[in-house]
Amino acid sequence: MRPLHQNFRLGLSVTSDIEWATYFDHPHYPLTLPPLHDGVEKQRHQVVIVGAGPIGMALALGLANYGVPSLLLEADASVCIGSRATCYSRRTLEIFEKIGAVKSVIEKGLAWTGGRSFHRNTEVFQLRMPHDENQKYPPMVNMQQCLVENYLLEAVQARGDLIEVRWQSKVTDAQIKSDKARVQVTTERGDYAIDADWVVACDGARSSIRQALGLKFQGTQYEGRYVIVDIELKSDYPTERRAWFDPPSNPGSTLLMHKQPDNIWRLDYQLRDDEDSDEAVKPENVIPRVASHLRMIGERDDWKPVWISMYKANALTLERFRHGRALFAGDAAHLVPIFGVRGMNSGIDDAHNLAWKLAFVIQGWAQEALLDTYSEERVFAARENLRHATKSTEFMAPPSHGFKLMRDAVLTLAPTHAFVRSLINPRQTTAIDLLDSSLNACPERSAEFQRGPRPGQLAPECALLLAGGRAGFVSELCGAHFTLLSFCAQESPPQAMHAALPGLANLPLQCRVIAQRGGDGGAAVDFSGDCFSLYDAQPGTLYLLRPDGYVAARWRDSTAPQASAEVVRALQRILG
Amino acid sequence: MTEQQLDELYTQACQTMTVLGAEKTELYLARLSLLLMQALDDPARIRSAIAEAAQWS
Repeated sequence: MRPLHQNFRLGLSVTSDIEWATYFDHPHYPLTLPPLHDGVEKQRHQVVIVGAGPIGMALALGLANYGVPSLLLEADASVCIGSRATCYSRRTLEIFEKIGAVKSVIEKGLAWTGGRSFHRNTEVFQLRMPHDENQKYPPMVNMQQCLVENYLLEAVQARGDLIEVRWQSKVTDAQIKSDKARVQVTTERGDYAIDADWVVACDGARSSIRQALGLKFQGTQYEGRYVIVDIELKSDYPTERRAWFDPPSNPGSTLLMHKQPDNIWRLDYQLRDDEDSDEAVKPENVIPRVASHLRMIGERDDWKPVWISMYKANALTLERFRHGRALFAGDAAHLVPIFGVRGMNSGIDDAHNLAWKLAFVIQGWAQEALLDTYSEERVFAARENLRHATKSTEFMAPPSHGFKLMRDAVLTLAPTHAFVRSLINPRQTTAIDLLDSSLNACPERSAEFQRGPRPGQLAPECALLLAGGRAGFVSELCGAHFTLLSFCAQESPPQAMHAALPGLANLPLQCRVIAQRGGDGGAAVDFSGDCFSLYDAQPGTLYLLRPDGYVAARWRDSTAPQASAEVVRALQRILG
Repeated sequence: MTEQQLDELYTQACQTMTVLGAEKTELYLARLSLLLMQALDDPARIRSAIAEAAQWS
């Protein structure tokens, strides 16, 4: 990190000269122009992704896993400045693993599992996120968004054979036709058009593609405004989420605090309705409030602000994420209030859901209708995320007198009446169940289970001994393909199921065996018995998993004569 | 009552007060208290709730 000009003593010097933090050497990438013919790029692309932010890069990396090339267009000359999104969920980390970007994030990021909420000076709630020894990743990892973007970019650059990034190339317009998508690109050295089979808008809240297509968000914009401040401060306080309601340091306000790597701390606080937004983000107005809070919580070291931004809660989504050859993901498709950290995390899930579906269509493994299920599933997920985040927002930033009154009642009762404490829970992001997805198959077979993940739920993580006795996890059995998880008593020759699927031999479909006891090698062994229990499995149980880790169908007893025909039908239903 | 049910009831009360507006909320809460007293039908518990609700720091 570069040294900063100003050091702020608690509550002392006040100045507007903040040098924004930079966490690595921010290279500026040059503008490149392709060969043109009549103002149109000669080469037609299969996939153009607008926006090389985290969602666009995750999508490009996901497509590359299936050998599908893509072109990323980015208006800026480098990855973002500042920390922006801070909290990365377990689901996001699992997806990062699939796209080859998890290692640096885990090494650099700060893992955490819980937090505390305070009303004035009293602790009123302890947050504990689900975590156990069967998880490969922690429930949450904190780090600055620019660092994550840089790690994703490194992964993108390592796939230079399939992914091209064009910097300083701003998309200004798009036309979607039945046979192609055309995007208009503006650069310092002239404008040109690109033709593509598919265009994916990952260009954020002010998406140029969304505007070009005349699409409108639906939902609510909240009045509550939050100032987001990153400060540099050395503190041994552990990584956890802390929230204060009406703290003595900032009476009437709600304040959040998170730890990030490199001695960076994130503070968010709500503005009063009578405060002016432009004034509120000026350092001379931010510093005293932060100073007051640090004093209250006993932080005595020097500190300095390194990033200040303003946030307004939106709960908005498009009605559909597919419009012909145009697809929408991340903030371009939906805006979620920050509480519960569903913004970036839901966008990464969008990219992961879309990557395999778009790749399957492009590779000719599935019908185009599969892309409609991207819209169906992720619009549903966006609405679920909005529902949870709205609840969170109503508690953190009450939108009316009634909500404020009830919240204050909860906060004053919480120290002595445990039953209200669940209402303080910040409802941190979790993977969204897709129980009504049109891709779920064989519900009557699923009903034969007592427990375990149903079609439309994520396959739960579990520790296993993999081939050769290596410690690993269920998720490592599943790659960029459909997976048939076959449970058996003792390791046996891999089930002949795959071979028994005529007409599907060329699909990316793999059979993986999980055995109760070890044998000659090849199978994963459920040494603890947890996996059989989590999946309510018995020898002969079969799970069909989608490439994004969701259960498509399951059979408690696949030795039944009709089982393999049902597996084929389930796959045909998905692929069309 | 599950956490989910409490959550839904909480939000329903908040939304009702939002529709009524701040001016009518006080009377609304008093009426709600009386209706809940009737529903609870347990003088001892109501008496202690009346006292507990008045205690906060």
